[in-house]
Amino acid sequence: MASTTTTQISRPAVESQVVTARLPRRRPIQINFFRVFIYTVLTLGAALFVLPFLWMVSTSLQHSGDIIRGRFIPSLEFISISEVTDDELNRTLQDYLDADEFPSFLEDVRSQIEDSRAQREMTLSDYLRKAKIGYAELKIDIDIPLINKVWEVHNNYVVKGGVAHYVEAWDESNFSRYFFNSVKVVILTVIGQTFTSVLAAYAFARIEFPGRNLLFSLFLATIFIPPMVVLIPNRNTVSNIDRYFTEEFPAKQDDWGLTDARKTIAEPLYDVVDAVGLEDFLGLGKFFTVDGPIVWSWMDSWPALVFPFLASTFSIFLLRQFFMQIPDELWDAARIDGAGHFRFLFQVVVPVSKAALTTTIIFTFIGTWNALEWPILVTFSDNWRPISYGLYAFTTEAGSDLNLLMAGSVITLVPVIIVYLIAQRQFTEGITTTGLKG
Amino acid sequence: MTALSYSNEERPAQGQQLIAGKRRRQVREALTGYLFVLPAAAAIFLFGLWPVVSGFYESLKSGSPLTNKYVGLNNYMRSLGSLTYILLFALSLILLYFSYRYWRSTYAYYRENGGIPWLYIGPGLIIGAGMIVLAFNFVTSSDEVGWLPTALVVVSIAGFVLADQLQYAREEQNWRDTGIACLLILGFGLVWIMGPRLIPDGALVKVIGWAIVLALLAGLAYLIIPSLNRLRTGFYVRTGIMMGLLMLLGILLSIYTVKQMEGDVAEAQDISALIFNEDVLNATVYVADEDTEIGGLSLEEEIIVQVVVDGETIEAPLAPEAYNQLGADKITGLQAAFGNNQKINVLVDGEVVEGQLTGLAMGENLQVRFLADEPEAVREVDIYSALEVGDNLIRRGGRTEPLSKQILASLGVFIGLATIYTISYVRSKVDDEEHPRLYRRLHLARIAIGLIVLIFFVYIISAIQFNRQAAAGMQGLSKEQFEWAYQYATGERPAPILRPEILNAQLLYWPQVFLIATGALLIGAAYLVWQSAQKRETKVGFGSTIMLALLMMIGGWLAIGELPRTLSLAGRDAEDTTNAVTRTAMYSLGTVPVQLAIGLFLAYLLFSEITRGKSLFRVIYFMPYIAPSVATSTVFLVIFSLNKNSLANKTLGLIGIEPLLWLKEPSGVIRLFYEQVLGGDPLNIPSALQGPSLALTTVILYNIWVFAGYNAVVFLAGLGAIPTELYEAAEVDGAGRWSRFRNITLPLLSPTTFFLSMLSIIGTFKAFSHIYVLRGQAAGKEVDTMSVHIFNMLYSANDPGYASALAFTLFGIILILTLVQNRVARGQVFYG
Repeated sequence: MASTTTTQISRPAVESQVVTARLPRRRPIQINFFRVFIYTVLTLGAALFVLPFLWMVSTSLQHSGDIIRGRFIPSLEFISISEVTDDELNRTLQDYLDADEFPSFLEDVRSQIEDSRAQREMTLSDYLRKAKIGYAELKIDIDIPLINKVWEVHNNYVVKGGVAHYVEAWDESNFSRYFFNSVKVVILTVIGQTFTSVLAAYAFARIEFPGRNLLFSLFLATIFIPPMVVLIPNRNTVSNIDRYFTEEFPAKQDDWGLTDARKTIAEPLYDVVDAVGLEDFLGLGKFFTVDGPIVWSWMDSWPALVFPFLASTFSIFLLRQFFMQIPDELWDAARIDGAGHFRFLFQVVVPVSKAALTTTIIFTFIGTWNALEWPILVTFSDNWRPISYGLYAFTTEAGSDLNLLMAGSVITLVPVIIVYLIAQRQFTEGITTTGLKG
Repeated sequence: MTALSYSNEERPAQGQQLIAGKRRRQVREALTGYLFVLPAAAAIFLFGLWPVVSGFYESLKSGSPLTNKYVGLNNYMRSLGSLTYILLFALSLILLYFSYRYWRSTYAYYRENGGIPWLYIGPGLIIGAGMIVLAFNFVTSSDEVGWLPTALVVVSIAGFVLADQLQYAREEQNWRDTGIACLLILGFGLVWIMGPRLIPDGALVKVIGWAIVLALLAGLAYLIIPSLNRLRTGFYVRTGIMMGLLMLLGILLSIYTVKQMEGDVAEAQDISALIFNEDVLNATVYVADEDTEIGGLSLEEEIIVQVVVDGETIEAPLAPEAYNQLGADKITGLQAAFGNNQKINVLVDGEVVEGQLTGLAMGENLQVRFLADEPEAVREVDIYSALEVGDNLIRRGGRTEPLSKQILASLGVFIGLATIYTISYVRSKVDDEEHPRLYRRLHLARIAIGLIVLIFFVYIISAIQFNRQAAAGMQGLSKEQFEWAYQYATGERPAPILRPEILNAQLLYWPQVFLIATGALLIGAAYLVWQSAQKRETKVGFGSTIMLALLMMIGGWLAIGELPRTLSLAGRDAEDTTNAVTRTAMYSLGTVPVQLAIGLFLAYLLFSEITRGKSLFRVIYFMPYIAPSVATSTVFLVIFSLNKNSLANKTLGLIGIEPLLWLKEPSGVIRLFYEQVLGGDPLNIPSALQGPSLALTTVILYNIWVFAGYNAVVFLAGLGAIPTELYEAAEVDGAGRWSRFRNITLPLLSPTTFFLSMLSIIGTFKAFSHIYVLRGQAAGKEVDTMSVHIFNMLYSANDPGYASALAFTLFGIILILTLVQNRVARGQVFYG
């Protein structure tokens, strides 16, 4: 008994002694070694993680010969830009040679051009388009109506070196098309998914209704279903859905008299479509045609890429967790002020939970931007092919043009990296709290 | 007084108003809730949950979109091979077990509360049957509401009501209620079944008619529910239904399995009986000589066909010149088959006209037998000689033993062994001095049953031998010989799927499996006998028991020795599936531990004593995870290209290793390491021991690169959650860095580790994009994991039914993995 009391008393004293005795000694040498070691290892690790990205950028800026030789630093000049006018672009190379005004940026291939008759007969513009040796023609044409008179930029440039690959990938390999397809699909998906998720998450967090838990666990169950299982039936749904809007109703439905009903419903709709000009709504394609029944094929169009992702269990789950932390007092105060659920949601809850919303939006953005298997199944043409599929198709087509391929990769990568760097804090927090990918 | 009475009157009214208001608010609240959830729910149900149902239905249909028809579980059998049957058996056993569990709980309830539970078993079975029929109707897409399931369900509900009445008959007589309830139920059923038939056709009328029917049904249901509420023994009803349903499902499933299995074997047996007999042995066929074109052919008899000539469909006799330039390869047995839309010569008014053949059913062929005009162009061929295929087989007329007898025999072995065991148990309880005769008789009975078991066992072994002879005969036939024999015996060409090797597999597989099962049983019995031998007192008794046990063991091992041969009999599709699963497993094993270790290491370094740049490192480590996988895997294509100047090859060159082929290299890493790095002789070891192929290893490296940083970030969060006091206390106790890590960090981090490992394993099973991109440059199918295999089946092979079946197989694997991991983790993971 006595001994225990003594230890109890003496121990804190010893501890404080140890602490006070150690603190000054800790600083100088011993820890530093360890830190140097840690920083070295961490930096090496970071280098390994970044290396493929650097490799991607450097390859995209390289000459194909240098890629085969396995260089890392691009040997050509990084970039050189020369301004040209339309007239200059339309002159043939022979004209240039005759007038002895050969463009300086072509100086190093001058002898080749002099040797080849075919090349001499080309216009400068054609030559730049055909020559795959790192030249490209870049048109910058900014036309802003409001400040039209002040800021009119309307210029042609010839770029030489690595940047040419980017121009070529963007213009000739259709990456601009893919890029904006992806942008449109991402915007539509983000808007739709955020809207449905906010509403559902709020209902699950705040509103009492029968069957709430059952419904929520049903939602959660979808997380465990592998995507391959739903891929096949979803493609069937998407490819058949236009039939439900056309005359070709399955015979079974005909017996129920639904086709007639649909006709009468659709009739006034044609007038509306006619009047408002909805055939091509916001450039999203023709889904109402005036002269026939509504034909709204989803395949190879944006609805196939957007509709299946209009709700995400992950977003609902994340937002619900966040909404549940909002104190009840806020709700009570809003109720007393006469606000209903809608107003409370959009005036109080949404502004409060900006962080969570950012996380879900970024998840949705990245998930949609990176998706590959679904676009492969539902797009057949460049019309709505998103960028990841475009890049994938490019890997099978481009083959030897590795620099172009890498330029395409960089184009695909950049938006994601930018969004990630802007919102990386929310992103990593979102990951660590839920550990799931959208 | 008045005030009081006033308030007394008012208060309940107010209360009612309050309650009514509260109710209204609740309803409104609930409606708002549904409204809010509706958009998300619509999308999730349509694209998240409904696909699971429709996908399963899809997996029951045949492949090509043109001939989309219901094929049952054939897609699963194709993907898993004969493993499907085993899984089905297991499933039926599980169902039966759960049925038994329900029986146990019913019995326990009965012991406690009394009642007459067995009255509910009958209706339970009926309702189970009704539900199964309903589900079957649904799956085979019968259009109308089946009347049979409805009738069954109605009858069983009536049965439940009656049972309830009987149960309480002694206490109170309520027959009037019961009668009403039964009548209502019957009415309900009648309307449900007859309703659609009574309403006349015609679109709008029908809709209104259905609305009336539905309203009527709703009303009836409203009436019936209270009277069903009178069922005071809800427990018995529930267990009755579950028991009946599960029991029937289990039994039906096992019957279905056995039938399918027997069907497979029986087909092969029929064919072997057809083609291995004296008749066919002595027969000759006429075959065109090699390299000869037969100039003229005449038809054996006149054949009238339907053809389209100049857009007109007519019926005309086939011209003798129908197929007058038959190459030697096309004229096996001087017979030809024509399909629809084929150009064919017919006789119209004595003139030969060319037309297109029509009028055949889908997939049907017109079989035409010719006679050769020049007999010298054709030679006579023996189909086969008895020596080649075995005299024995021919003499027995190709007969083989049916599978059902073998199943029965192995069941007999099982029952016999169980009986012997029971008798021994009883005998050990019987006092041999009190009842010496009984004691002896029991012993004799045991020996008799043992002999019967022996007979059964010998039967199974000999049946296998018969089947093996037939299979060997089948194996010995060349493809032509098989075709000739089949054609001679049946007059038809064999369907392309009927190949000797497939029949061979069908003949042997299941008999072998039952033999193996019996063997395993015998070994188990031998073990028991061995155990009992130790209790023997007399030397003779001991010796004989040991001998018996040894004999049984040898027999058992003989039977189990069939195993390797059985495993080699899988079909090609099943082999593809197994390969894909193996590759996925290798991929999983290669990535998960490594990336977890790297992640933990990095997280530990980041967490321990560094102050600056923490978030910078975190951002960098995380980058591969968020980058589009198509873009980053394209870079890996460049880095790991087979060019000798590619980054990977150059790096290897620094340590003196020859350039490798990376994604184009199908041989395993262990073998490569041995041959290239250690400079050994070419290594000949089975492919399973070579480790993952170098192509797959490249994919593994990519995966590690992507997920290590992600794991590090999650681990970092886990590390932050560990209270620092623990470390301080440990430091005070003098614990070193390693022992702190080992004894504090690791155990407290185990929930994170568990979570991450589960996520990673499942993630590798789902992985798609990067593998699909890297696959473009890879050797053959070397990197096709399960997901990619499924996608190829869907996208390249255009076989959605089969792909769905594969996807559900993958789903099953993932589910099992998750369950197993949960089980394992229960003992290992330390929560809080």
